[in-house]
Formats: sequence, structure tokens, C-alpha cells
Amino acid sequence: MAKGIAEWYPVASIKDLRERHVFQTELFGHELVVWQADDGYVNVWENRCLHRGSRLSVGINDGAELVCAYHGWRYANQTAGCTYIPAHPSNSPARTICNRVYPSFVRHGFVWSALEQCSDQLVVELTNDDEPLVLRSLPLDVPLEEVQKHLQNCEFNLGEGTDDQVQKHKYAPAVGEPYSYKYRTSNSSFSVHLMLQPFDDKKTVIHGLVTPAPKKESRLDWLLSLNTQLAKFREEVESSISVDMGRWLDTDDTHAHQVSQGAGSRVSEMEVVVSKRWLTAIDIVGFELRPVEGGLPTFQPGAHVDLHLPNGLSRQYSLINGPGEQDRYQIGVKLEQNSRGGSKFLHEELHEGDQLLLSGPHNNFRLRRDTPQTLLFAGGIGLTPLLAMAQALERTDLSFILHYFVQSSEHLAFQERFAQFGDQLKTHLGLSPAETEQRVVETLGSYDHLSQVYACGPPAMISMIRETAMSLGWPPEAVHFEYFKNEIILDEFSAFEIHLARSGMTLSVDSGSTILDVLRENGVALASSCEQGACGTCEVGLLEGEPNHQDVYLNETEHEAGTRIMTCVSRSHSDRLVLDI
Amino acid sequence: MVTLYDYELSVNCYKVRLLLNFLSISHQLHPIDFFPGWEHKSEWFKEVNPLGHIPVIDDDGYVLRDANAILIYLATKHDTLNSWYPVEQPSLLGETAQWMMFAEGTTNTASAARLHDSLGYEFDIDACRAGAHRLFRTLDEHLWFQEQRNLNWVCSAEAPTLADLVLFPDVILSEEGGVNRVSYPAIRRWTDRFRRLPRFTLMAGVLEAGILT
Repeated sequence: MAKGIAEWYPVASIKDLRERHVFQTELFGHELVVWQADDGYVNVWENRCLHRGSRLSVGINDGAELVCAYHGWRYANQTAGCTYIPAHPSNSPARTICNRVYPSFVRHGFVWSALEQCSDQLVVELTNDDEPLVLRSLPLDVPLEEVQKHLQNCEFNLGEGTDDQVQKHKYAPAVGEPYSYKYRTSNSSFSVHLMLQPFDDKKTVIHGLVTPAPKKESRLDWLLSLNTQLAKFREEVESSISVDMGRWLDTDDTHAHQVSQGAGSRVSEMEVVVSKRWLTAIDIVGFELRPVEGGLPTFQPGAHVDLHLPNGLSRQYSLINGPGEQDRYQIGVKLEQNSRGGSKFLHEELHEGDQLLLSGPHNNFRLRRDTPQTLLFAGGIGLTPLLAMAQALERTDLSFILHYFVQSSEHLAFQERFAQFGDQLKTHLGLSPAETEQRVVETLGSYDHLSQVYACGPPAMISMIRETAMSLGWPPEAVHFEYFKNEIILDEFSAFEIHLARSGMTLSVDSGSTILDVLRENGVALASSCEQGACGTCEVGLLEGEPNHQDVYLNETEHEAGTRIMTCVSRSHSDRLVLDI
Repeated sequence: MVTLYDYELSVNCYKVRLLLNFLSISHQLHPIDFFPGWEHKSEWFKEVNPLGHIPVIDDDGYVLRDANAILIYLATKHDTLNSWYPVEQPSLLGETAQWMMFAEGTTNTASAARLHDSLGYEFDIDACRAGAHRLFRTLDEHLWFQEQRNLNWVCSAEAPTLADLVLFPDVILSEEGGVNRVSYPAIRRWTDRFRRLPRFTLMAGVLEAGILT
């Protein structure tokens, strides 16, 4: 059995997957769900939602994600990473929540898969460039060995020829491999290949193709004729055997754990290549990044990545991708007038074909998908995370409006993605700060309990939107924001003590170092990203003490509660902080 | 106004509810406590239907029993396009009737297995399931070749007919009777298409197929 497992098997014909169908099958008793996203990518996953174990094959293929029918967990095209859990609308699913991905590829009209990664050798290698004619796949209630035994002696009659002269050819096996049978005659150019899919211990699926593909007008006749003969073959084989139940059920299941974890597995740093760069608006360059090998980690709308530049700097950029666009990341980089070397480098030195390191994505700007109305306010380059959100909302029945404030129409970025939004996108061109505020007041209105606001853009604009919303009665919980930078003048010099409640360590934070620095010096590994109190990655829980927050990540309510701090910038008003680590 | 004597979990009542909604026929439901109350066997209900079966409709005093009869009556009366029951196209009507008869078979096997499993009916469960699989094989083959001819439905028409409608509930609920559909990909795709029809209605145990844009 072990030999057979490390092979590629056809598990579906590509035609089986049309129209966002969610296809269900098995390989050696392992249940598979197979679905094709609108970008053409074919996913072969374990047929099980990680939440309660429901079959994902009863779920919904929305063209970009597979949604479990029961509690709406969403899994991303390509990576199988969970992107959203409706029961926890304000949280990001952990990146470890990732369905099992089986190795697979598409060739000769079929989806091929295997229980473990194996060589590139296929049971059928066709030299003909033409796509073959794919036959109707036939499941037999017969174990694999029985089908193999009977197929050795099987022959097929095929009628072919011109309309006035139909010749009958009898096809006998010329080559018989354990999982693939080729039938041909000496006086015909056509061969029939039959390939076996070991479904489980009682069932086998015969997939077949004819090569070269017959002329269009005779294809249906070929399909009908071979289907009839295969159905007859099935009837004979099924009636000749008595099924020996459950032989595979006792076998060791360890191979299941060796299956490749696919692209969804967590990576800390990965190499990407710039596959495209383009000027998308005045001073804004779009970059498209593809993995050098393997796939890209699952992302959620609002997420950002850290780019580690060859000049030693790290910079955060939001992904503008819509759901399911897992083959590439796209970011927008605005040239900053006072660039410290990040945007300037990217604009001037990073070209197509260049490689760089990337980590993330992190998502600290989380999109709730449980409110009837979402208002997105973008200022300039602040569009980027909101563009990803708008595309995610566009795929739901929740309504949203994306308000995009820029200086002029030449400043509108990523317009190639706008068509899908219709009148849900409102652009506001060339408004002064006072006019912008007036427009925000009109658009927001008083709080209606049905809406959520998301804002991203220049710090002054975000602050204005937050203050305006508060004055109109919006609670901080309904107003979400992401600052790209922290413009607060930071206290970096006070000294205080931190006590780590879980490990019992007490450490001092001296003038010039941050809590994050001190933690790292003492061996506490903590992820960070922007290191200026804007992104939320280095957050820890606070148990005691009076913090001096200094961040622009938490909202007013969260600052007041004083239960979380950003270790990269937060300091202390009291002598001591007790941290929940 | 049409009154339907209805039980939510009955496949035969579901067939009628589907058509009432597809054709936007104004109606009201009169729920019958089929299980565990056996209200369809009560004295008062036997005056409505002496056979003690549901569904039954009362269309302003015109009382009709049996799902197929009700569907033919409602489609002929209300379907202005004559597509569900194509009385103006003899060969298509023949096909429709043929597959409606076929659906009697799926109701007596797949849906009988479901009654056995969920409501404890005393049927030969193995025979029910084996019979359902035999019919599903035939249906899958038929629908696969319909797809090759660019036809989406059971009969050779652009639009679905009552044949699709009466087959759909037996098929979509078959797993409640232990008849799984993993070996019938063409049937599974056809259920996607049926569930994507405008004004399609769900019932307990039937899930949405998602939109196709």
C-alpha cells in the first residue's frame, strides 16, 4: 500500500469544477474537497472545517474563498488559511488556523493529487500538445485490485471514420501499468488511457481520456460509446466480486501527517521577487511581489507586510489585494518628502526582478463583517488597507461606501480595481482641510448603531475623523483607524521598572531604551513591526501600573482601560508596570 | 388564495412550497402536526383527504391532493411562460412526465430511507438505499451528458421543468437517509444550479449554493 500512496492520482476532471462547484471525493479513504477559484487556481484540501469538522464540500465557493456552510468560517484560495470567523468579528483568526492542503496540479484535463509530495512522474505522460478528450469518470463499487485485474483483459470497440464509412476498431491494452492502462490498435491514431483513482477500500474511480482528441463533431459519439462500454464493464466487475470490507481502515494513518502543509504554513521571513512595478498615481508606485518559491501566507483585509530592504530598513505596507489573490501581493508606496530611506529606496532602487525579504502579513486593522453598513474613509495613500476591505465587502451582501479623498484625479491610485465598486466608491477631489471636515460631518451623521467606520490617511485626517465621530455620538468601538506613522513627540527618556508576572522577572527600563528592547535583551521573543506605536504588533497585556501609552494604535476607551500597551513606545507614569507575560 | 396543508420536513410538501414561491403564487400554509402528532391521520383531516396524506391544497374551495397533481394544476394555472409544465410542447411534456415518473422512484427509495432514519418508518433500509443508488447512477449519467450538450436541466429545455423540481428534494436530502452523493458529481452540480434559481426556497436540511457572478 505504501508504494501506491506516493503517486499522483486523478481526483477530478477539470470540467467537474465549473461554475464555482465544490467537488467532493476521496483518495485512499481520505476525504478531499476540490474547488476552483475565479482566478483558475484549483484547491485540493482535506474535506473538513477546522471548527467543528463539518464537510467543506457542502460549503460555498464564492470565487475567492471557501465558506463553511455551518458557521461561516472562511478559508483562502491557495493557502487554505482561515481569514474570518463570524463569531469573532473583531478578531483576526490566528495564522495557524489553516486547513490541510494536499499537493496537486492540473494536467491533461484532470486535477491530480497525492497524499504526500512525490516525484513529477505522472502515470500518464502525453506527448501530444492538444488537450485530450476527457471521458466521463466512472466510480465502481469495487476495490482497486479487482479493477486492475479485470482491466488487463478488457477491450473496447470504437467506431470512427467519416460519415459514409464507419470503421470499427477494437482497442486492446498495449501498456498496462498498475494505475494506468493504455489501449490502442496498430491501424488507428487514437489511444484510450484509463487511470485509476483508489477512492477507499471498497470503491475505485476510473478516469479516462482519448488522445488525440477526436474532431469536435464526433466527440459526443466517442463519449457515449466509451461510457456505455465502461458502464458495462462496471456491471460485470461489480457482479463478480464480493467486497472484503474495511481492509484499509486498520492501516497505519501516519502518512496523513506527512502531507505537505502547503503554502499556508507559517513562515517568519520569505524571499519575494518584484514581478511588476508601475506608477499608479502621482508619487505612488505599485509593486507586485511574488514568492521566489512556494506560496504566500494567507492574508486578511486590512493586513500589512514588513518589507526588509537591502539597505537594512524595514517598512510596513498594507496589502491592497482582494480576497483569494494569493499568488501575489500588491502594495502601494508613496514617495515621502522627508523619506528616511524607505520610500525613496523603493521608488528609486527597487526594480522588476529584484528580490527582497518580507515578513508578515500582520493584521491589526481588522474588518468586522457583521454590520449592515461600513463607511471607509481613505486619505491619499491611506487608501491601501481600505481598498482591500472594500473588495472583501464587495463579495458579501453587506453595504459599504468607500470615501476616497485626494488632491486631484491624477492622485487616484489603483483605479484598475474601482470598476467593481460602482457607486459604492465616492471620490472627493481637491478639498481643503476645512471642506474635508465638513464632508466627513455630512457623511457620518449621528451614530445609528448599524454602522462601523474605518479610517486611514494622514495622521491629522484620522484624528479629525475620530474627533468628528466622537462629537456626533459615535462610540470609539465603532471607529477603527490605522495610522501609518506616529507623530506624537515621544518621551524616550523616563526610567521605570517592569515586572513580568508569568516568568517572575523584574527588569529596568532606562533612559533611551524601550520596553521592547529590554524584553529582547532578556530573551523574551516578541514580534514587532512598525516600532513607532502605530501597528499594534508588539502589544502585551498590562496587569498593574499607570501607563504612558504614547501609541496611536489603541482608541480612547482602550487607553483609559489601561490593560494593554505597545512595548515599542509605551512607558510608565508609575514606578513600575506589571506585564502579563 | 391557496392554502397548503403542510409539514415543514416533508419532501412532498417541499415540492409544492418550491413551486408556490417560484411562481410567486399568493398562499398560506396550514401546518399539520405530522410527527409526532399524526394529525394527517386525524378525523378532521380525513374529511380533507380520506387517504390521510399531505400535501393537500385548497384553492378557494377547490381541493386537490398528491404533490404531482398539485404541481401540474398550479403550473398550468399560474405559469404564464408554460415552462415548468410545458403543455404546448408535446415532446418536452413527454420528457417531463417521464422524469416525474422517475422521481416517484427516488421518493420511494431515497426519501423513504430518510423517513426510516429520521422518523422511524419501518422500511427495508438496505433495499431503499440500494434502489436510490441505482436511480442516482442513471440520473448522474443523464445529467452528465446533458452538460455535454450544454443543457442544464433534466429535460432538454432552457428552463427547469417540474421534473427538476420533483427530483430535487429527494436528491438534496438523500444524505439524511444515508445515501451519499459523492459518486454523482453531475447530480451535485445540478443541485447547485437548481439552488441558484431566482426565488428558490430553502427547507430544514437544505443549504444555499452561493451566488455565481
